[in-house]
Amino acid sequence: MSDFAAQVFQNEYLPAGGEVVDAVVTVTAAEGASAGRPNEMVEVIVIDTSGSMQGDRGAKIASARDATKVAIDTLRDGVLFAIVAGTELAQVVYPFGQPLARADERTRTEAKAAVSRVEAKGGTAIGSWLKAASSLIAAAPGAISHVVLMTDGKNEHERPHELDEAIAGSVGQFQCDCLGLGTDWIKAELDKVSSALLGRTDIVPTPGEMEFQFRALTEKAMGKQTGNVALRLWTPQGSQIEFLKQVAPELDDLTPKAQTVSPLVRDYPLGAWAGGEDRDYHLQVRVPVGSVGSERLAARVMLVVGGVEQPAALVRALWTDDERLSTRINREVAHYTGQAELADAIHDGLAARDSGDDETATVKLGRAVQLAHETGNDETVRLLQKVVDVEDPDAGTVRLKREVADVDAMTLDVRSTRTVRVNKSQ
Amino acid sequence: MPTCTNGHESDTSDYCSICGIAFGEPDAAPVAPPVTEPPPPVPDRATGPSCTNCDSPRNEEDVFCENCGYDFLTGTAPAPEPVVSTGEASEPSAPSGTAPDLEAVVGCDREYFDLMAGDSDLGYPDPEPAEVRIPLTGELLIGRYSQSRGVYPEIDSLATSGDPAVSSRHAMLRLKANGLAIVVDVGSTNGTYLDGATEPIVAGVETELVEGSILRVGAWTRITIAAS
Repeated sequence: MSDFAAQVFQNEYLPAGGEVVDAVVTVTAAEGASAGRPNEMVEVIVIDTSGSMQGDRGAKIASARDATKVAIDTLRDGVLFAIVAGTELAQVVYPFGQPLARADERTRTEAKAAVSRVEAKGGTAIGSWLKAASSLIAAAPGAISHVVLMTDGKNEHERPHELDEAIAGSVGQFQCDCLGLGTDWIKAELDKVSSALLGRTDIVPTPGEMEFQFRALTEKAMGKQTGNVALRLWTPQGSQIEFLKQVAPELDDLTPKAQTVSPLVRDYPLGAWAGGEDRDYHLQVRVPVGSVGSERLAARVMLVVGGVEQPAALVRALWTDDERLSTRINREVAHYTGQAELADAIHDGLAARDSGDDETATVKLGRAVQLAHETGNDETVRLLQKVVDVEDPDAGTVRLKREVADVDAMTLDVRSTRTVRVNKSQ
Repeated sequence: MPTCTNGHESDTSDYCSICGIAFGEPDAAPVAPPVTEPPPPVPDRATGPSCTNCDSPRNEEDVFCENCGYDFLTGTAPAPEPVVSTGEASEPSAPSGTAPDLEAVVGCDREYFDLMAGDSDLGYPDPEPAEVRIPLTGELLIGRYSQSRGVYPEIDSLATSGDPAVSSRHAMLRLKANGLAIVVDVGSTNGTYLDGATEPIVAGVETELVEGSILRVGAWTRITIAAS
């Protein structure tokens, strides 16, 4: 279990009558070995083996087999694991006759042999896959559990409520990262899964990229040391939490995930952390106005680790009639406000483009190019350049490309929530 | 407990734990009306003791207000004569900051459950929730969170052991000024059992705890007093 620290970046000064307090909170897990015995860890890999995976003349299912084998090789000795093949129902490919196997040379070899025999045939029912993962993971209560779920299609062999129920039943049991292969899957479906299960959704643009992504996700899971961390916020009576968003390494709105602890205290689940990992959060809270010269605590930020509350940081509000103080803009807050606007501009721009509103699309994607360029989000600039021709990045002048590959538009959409950190040395 | 300029009794000494106002700072009339309830009326000393919450008359030894059910043990106002003490007159709670070195370890107890509730409809939690360690400082209410009754216990069975059979106000753990830890059952339905005793402790009576003392409450909740 790691120790956690939090640092607050804010302009604590508000003008007379001001009531909105913004702060960026950086949470860092301490580096180094965890105290006590290491946590039990579970990794379940779920691969879509529906008929459509036979596509690209068998290249899809072949890469899924290869990528799964690479993930198996990435498992640390001692980690509990299982492989599930998903169609209109879920089939446990490995292990045989027990829910989970402990990774060692023998089980890895057996698992890879079993994966080689997987065929693509059948439908797609993602809810049933999650239920299967959940029942396997139940064999190791208290473990840090992670699922990689890969699909190439939409959830068409079960009703939407079945997926919703499966997601609800999995919350708190495991974290899940989703991979969508190609462009025939539905971003909203996988986003729903990964957001509720504290993971993220990414696109696998071509089968050849799957191996790399499976390895990266498995390696990341292997690094986790502390499970079930929550951010606890106390805010004063009469206040309103406008939002709490994770803003780095990627955007994720945590506001709807609040769990009420007591009338003034809320918990937000943050999932498992690796030693040395840090994430940034943007908090906006509306507080009852104080008189000029008075000070109010706008939020007390705490971390709950293994059920134990750790004090972390204070977000303050100081009312002043000195405009030089109250009009200062905090650099971290401004930076992440810009990253959130960038993601919104991309989303709105692509939606306008899909509906044939080229004028709005040009304005929005132009603004996106400008913001990405300004903040040094080079990866997003590169993705935008596949959808628009940039004339002037400083002014945000762009032209929509005539021919855009579906996969490029979808990649931009899926990855628009990736942010860059503010350069704190400036 | 410090009182802020808005009249709130605060659990914390840097900022008010209710309204967040900094201690030692003036707070002029707020622009937005505060959503807080008015501070409890001061009891009228001339006509004898009264409830700090509803002002109705009370007996000195009452644990609850007969009128509004206000709990004199756990209410925000310090209880003047909280319990029938077994020993000396009750001392004030230990002020925070006296470096208490005990903690309450809240967990689940399968054996106790089998004994107490094994044939009831209750299901023992599977998986068992992890133990929760709570530093023993001042007063900690053992109970069950209830928004409708406005009970927010420091040791909340729902948030720790998941036990539904703990009373909303079950028992009070207190660290006294002399460093002694005590427990008082504040009128629970199912009783508080100390160190494997088959009879519950008597409600309203302070019982001393030492490091290693084990309390069992509800259907499966075990609270161990341990050095932190």
